[in-house]
Amino acid sequence: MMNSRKSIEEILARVRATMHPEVPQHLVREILRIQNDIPDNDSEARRQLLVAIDEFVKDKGVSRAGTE
Amino acid sequence: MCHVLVLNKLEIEDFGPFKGVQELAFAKPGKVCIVYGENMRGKTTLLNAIRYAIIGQIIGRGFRDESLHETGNWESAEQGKFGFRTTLWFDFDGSSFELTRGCRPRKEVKQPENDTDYEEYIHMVRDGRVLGPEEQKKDLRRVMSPETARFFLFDAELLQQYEELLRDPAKMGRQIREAIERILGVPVLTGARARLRDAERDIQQDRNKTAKKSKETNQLATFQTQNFEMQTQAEKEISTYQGELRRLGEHQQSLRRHLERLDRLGDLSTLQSERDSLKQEMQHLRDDLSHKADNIRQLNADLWLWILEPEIECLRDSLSAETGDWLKHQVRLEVNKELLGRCREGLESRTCSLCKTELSDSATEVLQSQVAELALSTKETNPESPQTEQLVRWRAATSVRVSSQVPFLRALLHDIEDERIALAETEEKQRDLDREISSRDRSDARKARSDLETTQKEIVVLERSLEESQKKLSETEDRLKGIGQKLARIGNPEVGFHTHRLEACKALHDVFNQAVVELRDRLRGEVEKDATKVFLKLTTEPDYGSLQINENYGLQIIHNDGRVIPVRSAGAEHIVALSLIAALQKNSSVSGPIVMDSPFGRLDSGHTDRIMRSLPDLADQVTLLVYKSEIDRDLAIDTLRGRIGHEYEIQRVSARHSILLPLEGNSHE
Repeated sequence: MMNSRKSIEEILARVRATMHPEVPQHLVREILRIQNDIPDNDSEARRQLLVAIDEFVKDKGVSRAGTE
Repeated sequence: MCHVLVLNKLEIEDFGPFKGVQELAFAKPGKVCIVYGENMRGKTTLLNAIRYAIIGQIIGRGFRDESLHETGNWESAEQGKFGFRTTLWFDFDGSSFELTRGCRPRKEVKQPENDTDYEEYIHMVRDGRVLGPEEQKKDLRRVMSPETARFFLFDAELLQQYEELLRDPAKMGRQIREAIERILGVPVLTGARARLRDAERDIQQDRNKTAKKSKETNQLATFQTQNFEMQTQAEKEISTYQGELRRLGEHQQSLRRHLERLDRLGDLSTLQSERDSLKQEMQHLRDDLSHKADNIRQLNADLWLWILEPEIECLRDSLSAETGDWLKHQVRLEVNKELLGRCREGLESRTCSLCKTELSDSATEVLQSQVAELALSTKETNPESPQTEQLVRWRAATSVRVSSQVPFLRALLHDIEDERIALAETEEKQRDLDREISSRDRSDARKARSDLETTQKEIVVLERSLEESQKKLSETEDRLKGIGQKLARIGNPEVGFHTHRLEACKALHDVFNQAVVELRDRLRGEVEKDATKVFLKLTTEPDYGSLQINENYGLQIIHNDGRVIPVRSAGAEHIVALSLIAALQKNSSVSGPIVMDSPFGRLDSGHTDRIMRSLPDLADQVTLLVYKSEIDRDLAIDTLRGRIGHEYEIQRVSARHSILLPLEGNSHE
């Protein structure tokens, strides 16, 4: 049994570390969680995803008025 | 996490030939359930009943959906009872479910004529609680989807579809690959990737709106809007063309399969030779019936005596008694005559005829009285017997005892009755075969070929249009990329905020995109490894070393010397397809049952034996629908050695009525 969530997370973590280390692992996990919880393509899933990205951008110190 | 599905019991009512309510108990995990049934008894219908119970789909030949109206039992329909029902009891992830599906005529319809006259219904109970429509929908999607069901419930036609995939992956392409990836759990990553792509669009739109508010970025934003519209338009076109190409591709495959079936004259000639042997069988039965009817006619010539026999018996007894009396009388008469002669002789010589002494006067007197008496008795007797001739005639007539032939006659009548039933059944079988043969009309093949040609032309035109739209989309995306870079360089802080969001989104998209590639690679490796393990257990060819997987999950056989086996037999392809299915089962996100309809059809006994031995390892719960010549029951019991859970036989009552009968020794569990 290979397609366990653990092995998918493990692949994501490795790819993230190689390609985009600036993206935190918790953000990747959050995207995966949203996809698992709401597999249908609905507006709630999209809203949650954008909130997660905005949080990350804000955490980087960027606001709508520019870099804080 | 792997979800576990266990089927417990299926109840069907008026589904196809299964008239009334009938039940199938599935074998427990680790065991095998075998259902035996000859052709046209209802094996494929039973597979469809299980499929309908789980996913609400009834699939006919060429993967077309079957009609609800045609699926209901015909005999019940003739008796005014329309529609059908399935109820399935199963366990999933620790919960117990009872799922009922069915269809019935709409209230206003008295005599349904087509599918629109029916309404379908569904009830679902989880752990004793009735579920509402939304919960039902959610749970059903979790348990099994139509895309994944094909890996659990399959027949020879599906195996053939896999074989086509293995032969020519480019043609089968996307549909099968997507189905395979769905069962392997890839959609969790591809879904997230698609969602990130959508989010990227949303953010681009947000940035565009913000850019329009500023003088320095307004012009670029307007240009960007135009390109967004062109991008949307090109994507719509691509999606339409791809959808249409998928539809045509499936249609093309279905036509090819249909033509292949028609071209496989072997099938048609098998049916024809089956019909010929039925004709011979019928002729033999008719001859035998005629011979037996002659026997009965001969017996009938004397049969009237059977009715008179008690009276004849009585008369014969009385005649025998009378004859005895008459004979006694005759004897007495002879004796008296002899005595009379001697007495007269004594009187004439006046001496005793015995001792030769002289008779005294008194003795002479006694003798004279005796002579008078004897003379009287001999005169009284009538020497003619008026019944003698009659007696001889009756004796002759009743010499044959008809009643002794009655058991023979009864047995003969019984045989005739049995043979008449056998003849009626054989005639019905022949009618079924005639229908099947006539459905394979040659004109059907001509129409299918012309349809295939038209479809192929449409595909060429669509592929050209798709190519143009893809080119258009690529150009638009390049322009949008350039506009995005220019917007970023201008340095508006609000636009910059969205650019940061966009970059984060793109980075996430990159991560998920690459993860999809890696997951696919890893899964392909796992499937290849597991399929090889199963293949080496199933194949009887010792020189085959392994299987090698390609992009589309197609598998090639590798010889022990490392070279690819270029041409392989239908039997080998069958084994490869089964190995792929077993490997997918192993790597599936749902561990569960498999139900196989006629899986051994084209295999020799060596392969059949190997598959039988490996069955319990292919899946947790296996149900086989087989015809008797596919596997011998005694051999199956011997091969599986206590791993058979249940056995059933589909017995024919009529062409439209079959019974699912548990076999003796059925409860092996």
